[in-house]
Amino acid sequence: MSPRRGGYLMPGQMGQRATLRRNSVLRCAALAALLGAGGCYVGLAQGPGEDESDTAAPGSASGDASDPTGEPADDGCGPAVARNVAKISDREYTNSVRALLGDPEFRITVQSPGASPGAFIEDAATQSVNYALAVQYQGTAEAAGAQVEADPSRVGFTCLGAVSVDPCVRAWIQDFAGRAFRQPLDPDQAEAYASLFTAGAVDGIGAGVGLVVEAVLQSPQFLYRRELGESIANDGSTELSATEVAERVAFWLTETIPDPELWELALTGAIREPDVLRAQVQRLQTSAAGRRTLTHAIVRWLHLSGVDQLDKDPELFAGFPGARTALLESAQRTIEDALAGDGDDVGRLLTTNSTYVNDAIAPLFGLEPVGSSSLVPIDLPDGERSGILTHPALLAALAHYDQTSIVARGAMIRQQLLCNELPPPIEIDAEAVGAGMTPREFAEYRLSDPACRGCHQLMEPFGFIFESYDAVGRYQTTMDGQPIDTVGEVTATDFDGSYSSVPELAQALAQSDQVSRCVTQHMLALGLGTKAADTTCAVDELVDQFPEAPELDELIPAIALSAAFRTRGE
Amino acid sequence: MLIKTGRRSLLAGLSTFGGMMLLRPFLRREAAADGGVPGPMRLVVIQTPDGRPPETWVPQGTTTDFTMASGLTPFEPLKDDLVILSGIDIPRGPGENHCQCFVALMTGTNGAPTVDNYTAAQAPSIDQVIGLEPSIVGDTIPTLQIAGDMTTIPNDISHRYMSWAGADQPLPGEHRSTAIYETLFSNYVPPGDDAAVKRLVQRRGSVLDVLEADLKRISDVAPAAQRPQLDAHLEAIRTLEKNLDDLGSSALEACIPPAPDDLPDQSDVPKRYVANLDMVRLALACDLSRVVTFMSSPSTSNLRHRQWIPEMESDLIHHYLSHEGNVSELTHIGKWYAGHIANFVQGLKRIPDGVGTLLDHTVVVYTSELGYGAGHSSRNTPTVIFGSAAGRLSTGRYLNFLDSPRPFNDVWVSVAHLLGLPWETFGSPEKYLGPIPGLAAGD
Repeated sequence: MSPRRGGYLMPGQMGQRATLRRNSVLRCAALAALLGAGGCYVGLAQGPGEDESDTAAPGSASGDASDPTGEPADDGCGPAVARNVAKISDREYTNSVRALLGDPEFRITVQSPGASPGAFIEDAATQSVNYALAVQYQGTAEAAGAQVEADPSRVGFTCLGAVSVDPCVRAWIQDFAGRAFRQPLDPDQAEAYASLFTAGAVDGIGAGVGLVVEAVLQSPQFLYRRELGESIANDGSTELSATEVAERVAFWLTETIPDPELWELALTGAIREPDVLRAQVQRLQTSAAGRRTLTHAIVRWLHLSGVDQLDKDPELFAGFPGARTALLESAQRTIEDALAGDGDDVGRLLTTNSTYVNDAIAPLFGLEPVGSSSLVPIDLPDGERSGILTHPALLAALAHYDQTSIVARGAMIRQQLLCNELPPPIEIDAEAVGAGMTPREFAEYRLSDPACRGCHQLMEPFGFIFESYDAVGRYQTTMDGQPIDTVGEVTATDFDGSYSSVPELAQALAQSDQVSRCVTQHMLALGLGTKAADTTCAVDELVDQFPEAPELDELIPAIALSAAFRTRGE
Repeated sequence: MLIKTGRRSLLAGLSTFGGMMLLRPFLRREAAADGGVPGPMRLVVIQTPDGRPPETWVPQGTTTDFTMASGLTPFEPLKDDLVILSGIDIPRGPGENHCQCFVALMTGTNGAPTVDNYTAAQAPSIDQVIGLEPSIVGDTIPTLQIAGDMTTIPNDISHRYMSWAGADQPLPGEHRSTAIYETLFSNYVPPGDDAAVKRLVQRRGSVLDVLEADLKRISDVAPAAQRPQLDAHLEAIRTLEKNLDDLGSSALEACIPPAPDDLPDQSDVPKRYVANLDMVRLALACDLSRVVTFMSSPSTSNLRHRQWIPEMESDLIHHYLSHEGNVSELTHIGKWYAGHIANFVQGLKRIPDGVGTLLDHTVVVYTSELGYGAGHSSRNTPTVIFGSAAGRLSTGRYLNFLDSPRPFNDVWVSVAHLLGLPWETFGSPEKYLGPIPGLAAGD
């Protein structure tokens, strides 16, 4: 390949060849246009009153100007998100349909317009049900209805003697549709579904059950979450109703409708009692579905979702297509293990020496084959690797087709671990400057050009430290025959200093309050189902509650009990 | 309690549904033929990705006497059914060296950055605007978005979508053959089974009534900001309802859906491509929709064409070949696409429709979201228009605007005119000059 390096990593081409052979183009951050030269707004998520002269600001999504103290008010934080109706995601839909049918294998291929399943949190506001999606819902519902018609007992229908709508049938409709809708049916609605049952039952009782299932699975009551609140809290916000709390907890922790135990507590209202809520949250988060959901969220958080689809230059590592699925699974199991231990989960994830390898991925770790095609646990030697940041899955995801990406790796640390927001890049022609440069030289260019420096000075130092790992995540000490300079001068963090290896950096990240706060912020965003909310006050409150980096199993119930979670603004 | 029964509820009686409705589309078309009236007009926009080197598509010669370039030779038999335009530019933003052309191509308006550093369109695309024209869409599915391929990072909004419902609202092209099939033919029942049709109409009708009532329960309590989303859902439910009228086996001779089992394995890219493009033809043939976009592949195409084009030498994906400006390889790719598009157009030409053929009543625009891909150029985007537009389009011509380029919006306004819509402008006003001269018959 061409020795000429450089070119902006088009976000859609992670894992693709980056060497743009002609007219290569580079985008720099848009600070010049937005903020004046050199003014990329990043830096520490500071406590109150600290001097934030040069690289001041947010760290949190808000940078909240309205709360200059950063301290929670005496009576605690108010709601972080407004009253809301939101379409459930494709994952939530799929899991919920399968739960209602009691069939974890039921075939579903629904895809919403604008869905981005790899995003940390999907933005429900951009998704609506258009004709094509309505047809997909209809097709899925009809297939489910046909199965139920043949065997009504699979949806808990046991009114075997029924010949028409009797009390038994009405009770089943209320049970089945109520849980599906996360809201008991009102009398008119119950009557409408009873009529539907009667209409379908002209072809037999099973057909009546099937028709109700068909309607329930495409009903807007099933497809939209409602967070409207019912009672008024003392600050004028509204508190979520018991069924809304149960719905939010279930979708957050298990990405599906409430299970029967949780639903029962919603119907009695008991779920609004703090002890009951805490116990249910703990039960769900430690369930198999809870573990799976949290692991998947961390996979998305660290940009690992697409690893099993990555394309890499065969000249670099011909075995990549046979390795990528195991690579993702290895990362997932590493995450699961970190979550299973006691204490600071994320700290453990950042520093663990344990992972999983098989013969296909062992070479990426610099290991000899382990004699197994399935993954086996292994402890890596000290030195080259430490924690998820040195896992080849992450390193390959944050690299081009045939070379590393200083920017992608640095941006990930800034945005995902430090919660700094970087403005969108502008575009400048790099044809003249990118030619003949090594990645390091090209990065140095970005650090010297005032149009680029403001933001890139925040990413590049991290990216430099990661240069020890190539585009498929193998450890390297030279690039194109030249020794690699992996020194990065980290600034605008609470662990500023010079670092030259990722294990060294990972130790610092694991001990950083800024990282810990950012983890809390991400976990709260998951709980609220949005990244757009101003959560500064709520995060402050949680950070006060957990001065040391919390175990997620403790943090998550605390989030559930927070006012931000349980109330809604107008 | 008063039990409200929907108009299609089984409880309300069943007398009004006979075989008539199954013949409705057929009757409509026959009436058109009898009265000597042209059939309804349709629009199909077909994109192929990553531009083309000009020498592979720009013809040599004059307006009426020209030779097809190497990458468009499959269009030779259709020379009298097309117009080729050179010198057509996609709007681009100031200082935008790497053209975010895909979002601008059909919206005629520059995109804007999103929070995660992509670019999103800021206006609806032309197909969506035309999909609001009752004179075009009638009671068909307003617009369809179909794709040949979708393999890029899923949240890369800048490169994956040609159709946009409005600002920041991409409409993905469906590339899964089975999902396209379901969208088009969920109402199709093999001929002869009237009882099955009747049962399906009844069951769906009563379900849809319940869904509409349930949606109203939510709309009544939803914050105002979410009303548009819920209104869109209501529109979708009502379209499903309207489509019940067409439920059954089509009386249109050319409307023969494939057997679901014959749909290709989704990993077979070329077969999937052909099957999906053919379903565009069927959507028109069955008069299910009259406004269809077909995205061959997202921009920065990941397809490795050598896997199915034996003449190719390079294993690189299309995107990298486009950066290399590899004329010989890109000619192969261009011909491959052109061959399938030519088959599609020939297919329309074989279907009788009112006075003439379906091609006479369909404006097919073939284009790309870039000009010369190697430079991410927005200039001189390959553009070909097929079909006579019921005699409005003067075909068999090459219109050369290389010396005085025209913005793509001029083409879109001309296309609207070909469809019988008297538009005065489209897209950003500063990116519009006027209708393309020489396109309309008599120009």
